Amino acid sequence: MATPQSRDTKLINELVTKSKVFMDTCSLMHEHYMEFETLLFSALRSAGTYVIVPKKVIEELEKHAHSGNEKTAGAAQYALRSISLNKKWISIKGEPSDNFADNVFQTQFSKFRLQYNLTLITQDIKLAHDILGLNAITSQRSSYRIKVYRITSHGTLGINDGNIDRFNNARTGGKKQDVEPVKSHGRPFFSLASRMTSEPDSILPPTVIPQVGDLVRAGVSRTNVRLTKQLGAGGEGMVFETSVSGQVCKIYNARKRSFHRLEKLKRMVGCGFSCSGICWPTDVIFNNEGHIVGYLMPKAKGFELQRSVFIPKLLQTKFPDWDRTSLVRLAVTILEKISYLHSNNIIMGDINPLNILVASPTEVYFVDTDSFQIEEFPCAVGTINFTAPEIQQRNFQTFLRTLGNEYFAVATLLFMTMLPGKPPYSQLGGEDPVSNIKRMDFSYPLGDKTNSRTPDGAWRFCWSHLPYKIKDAFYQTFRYDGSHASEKDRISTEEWLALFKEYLSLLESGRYQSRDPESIKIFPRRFKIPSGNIARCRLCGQEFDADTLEKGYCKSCLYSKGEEMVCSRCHKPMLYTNKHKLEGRAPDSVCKECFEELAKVCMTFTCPDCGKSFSITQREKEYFEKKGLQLPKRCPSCRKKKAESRSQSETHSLKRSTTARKQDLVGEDIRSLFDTIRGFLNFK
Amino acid sequence: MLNDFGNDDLIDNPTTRVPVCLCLDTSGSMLGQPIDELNRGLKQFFQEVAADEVAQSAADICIVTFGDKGARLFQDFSSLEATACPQLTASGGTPMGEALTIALDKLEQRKQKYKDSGVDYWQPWLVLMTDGQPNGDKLALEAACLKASSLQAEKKLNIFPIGIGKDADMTVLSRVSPYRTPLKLAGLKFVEFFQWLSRSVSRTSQSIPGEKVELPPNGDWTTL
Repeated sequence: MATPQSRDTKLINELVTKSKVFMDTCSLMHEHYMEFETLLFSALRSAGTYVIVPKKVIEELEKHAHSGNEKTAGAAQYALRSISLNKKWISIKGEPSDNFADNVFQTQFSKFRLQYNLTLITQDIKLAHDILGLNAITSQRSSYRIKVYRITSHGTLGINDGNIDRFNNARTGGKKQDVEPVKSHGRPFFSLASRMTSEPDSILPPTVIPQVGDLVRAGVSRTNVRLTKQLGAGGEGMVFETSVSGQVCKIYNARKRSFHRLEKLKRMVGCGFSCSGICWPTDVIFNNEGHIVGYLMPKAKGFELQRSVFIPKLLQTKFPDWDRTSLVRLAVTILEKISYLHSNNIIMGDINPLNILVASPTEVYFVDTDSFQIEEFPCAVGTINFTAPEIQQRNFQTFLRTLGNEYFAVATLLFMTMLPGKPPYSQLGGEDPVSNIKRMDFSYPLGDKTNSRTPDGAWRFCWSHLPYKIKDAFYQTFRYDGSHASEKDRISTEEWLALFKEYLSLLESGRYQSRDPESIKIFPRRFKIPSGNIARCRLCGQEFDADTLEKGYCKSCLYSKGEEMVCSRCHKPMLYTNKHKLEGRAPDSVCKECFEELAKVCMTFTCPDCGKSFSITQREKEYFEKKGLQLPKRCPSCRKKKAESRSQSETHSLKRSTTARKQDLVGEDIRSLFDTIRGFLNFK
Repeated sequence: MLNDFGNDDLIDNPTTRVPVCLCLDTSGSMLGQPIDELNRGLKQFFQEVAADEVAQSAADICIVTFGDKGARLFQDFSSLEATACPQLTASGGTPMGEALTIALDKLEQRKQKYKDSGVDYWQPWLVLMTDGQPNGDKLALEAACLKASSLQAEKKLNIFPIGIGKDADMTVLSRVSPYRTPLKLAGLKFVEFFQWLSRSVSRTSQSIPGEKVELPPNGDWTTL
């Protein structure tokens, strides 16, 4: 849908393409210049040409800008600002011999009238009269003409024929006329600026801020528009339903009306860009004082991403029948629009889930487009999660974002679409979002590579079910040592689009989820089983790769579940695992910690028999203490020798003697040794 | 397809949280109209936050009271959905130091919980409201002032200190919060204050640029 051209637009387009246009001081300072300049610069932009302003006119403006008269000074300052912001479309010409402006026009028009059609825009009737007089001299010999126009009270051009009687009644414009749409460009709508505008921004003087019910005027279409109903209010301004069908109007708050903002807006309106689903400014809106106060744009539909897809509960209520294919289709729809913007050198800047509305997976709307970065005018806002590490904590008003910066935001948006609402750097043990992003310690695994800090919950499953190529793309973008981690290496919107289209076709054909049906779910309940060889655990009933099950049981059920028991030593709870049960192994009497502690050496002695040193473990120590016995004095081998000689004599004398004997035999394995000599020992 | 989603809101809700601890004076001097107005304001706050889908998923609220039954945790952190609006009663002394200690501990624990689960959060908010002089343990008060003010200095805590009525000890409030001047609530405009607070939670939950959130302009709820 292109903006229809009004008669005024057509006239000025014709003038700038077919003649050399000069501007005079009084027109630049005219109270309706602000309205006029939208027409003028949009015409110059599409024609790729410029207007001529004599150096003397600039000097006059500068003089007025410092005059005591507030109104005059304000008008002159505005004109100078406008000239400075539109350098590209203005050619300032002058020579040291120039005396004063009127004279300059006279001289230059005389000089060039035989080479070009010439146009002068001035409010000055006398000057118009003199300049037009030149036509009388040239008419016989030249096909070139001189025309003089003035700015009307409607901000359009009217003929200035140098006749004071007709001056006050003359007017053009009025009836809207639909002409053929602006032809589409083969080249990008904008150029990619490398440097920010050097013109400082400032808030414009207060003016009337229209309210609901008020009548305002659309600058390009020259129509009256009524603000019928307030739809919303935010930090920047208010949005109204209007009398123009399908179009809403944003009206800025007084303290948000700045030079940069309006200049950018005029450029956006003037270029004729249009793309369905991108709520691009279609026209500027003037108040009854002739000041720009806002703009018209197509009305958006649907729910903000942040209030639908990005909060699981709301996703369920608002799009109950969505599955993963819907998410991927949504990603493709969004990527197509961003890709189109990028191909026209438009950087969105503030990509965020409150600026994208979703009506369905194939119908989305980008709003707040007036914040886009357009050529040398930055996008002044942004949010932490969508800001690349290299530009974190910078003031967005002070620099231009690069496509590299923007690709980070695109990757974040895609990640948060596939893991609905979860920012890529949230992680176990994480810091605040800014530090998390700057560290780039991405926590989702790729193959064996992981920092083991993936957040709890369903997120790891959502991740697991992504195709490897997509995981790899995210990993290489978000991980500090990834191959796409730095600004200049990031994956472009076009490349993401190709990846997601491939993913979509896999899902649409049913091939992707045929291996693992869980892959079609937005929130899968488990990790992906890439082999497709799925079996249920006999105990918990959950699905696993059949090869990982032991006798039909999953690892978690075997090793982490079982019967709760108590350690006989420390009395803490311990697990008699299902694995041990299944193997028919008797439950341990002590827990793992105690078992390890018991095996530790706690004392070392020297054997009095052989002179060698030997050690006593905690287990032995506790055994003797429990029995109320002294610790052994001899080393295990001397003890064994002694025990053997003793047991021989015992065999002979057992029937006769039951004399208690001190037990001092303890070997490495108390239990087995105890079994062998059980019954032969007497304790003192 | 979404039915399999878990039930643990802490983990399953991906929204960046705004932990808010309301540390409220419910001492005897609040009896009558002040406590009624405070309850009305709280109700307003809960309703307004609940009305905004994003704020509702972001707000994580806990209430500590001092007065009635000493300093105590009146209501632990929970998302708004799980929370019924509390009804406070007034009696007893003003053990502000003890209450602050609980409040700061709870905020610290909550942050740790977020970290342990991999949940993003904004730096916590502490709303401190009193209508009198602290009369609890002096050492506890000193320690709490020191801790709160140093957290504020490190930008790890946003403190909103509010004095109610003419007897509120503004000096102690400014010791708790040296970097944000305590405000005196005009009349008993709790409702207006809590409206502002809920709008601020909404604004913050929508993550406006940089670290500094541009909070809505203060209306007429202060005498400033």
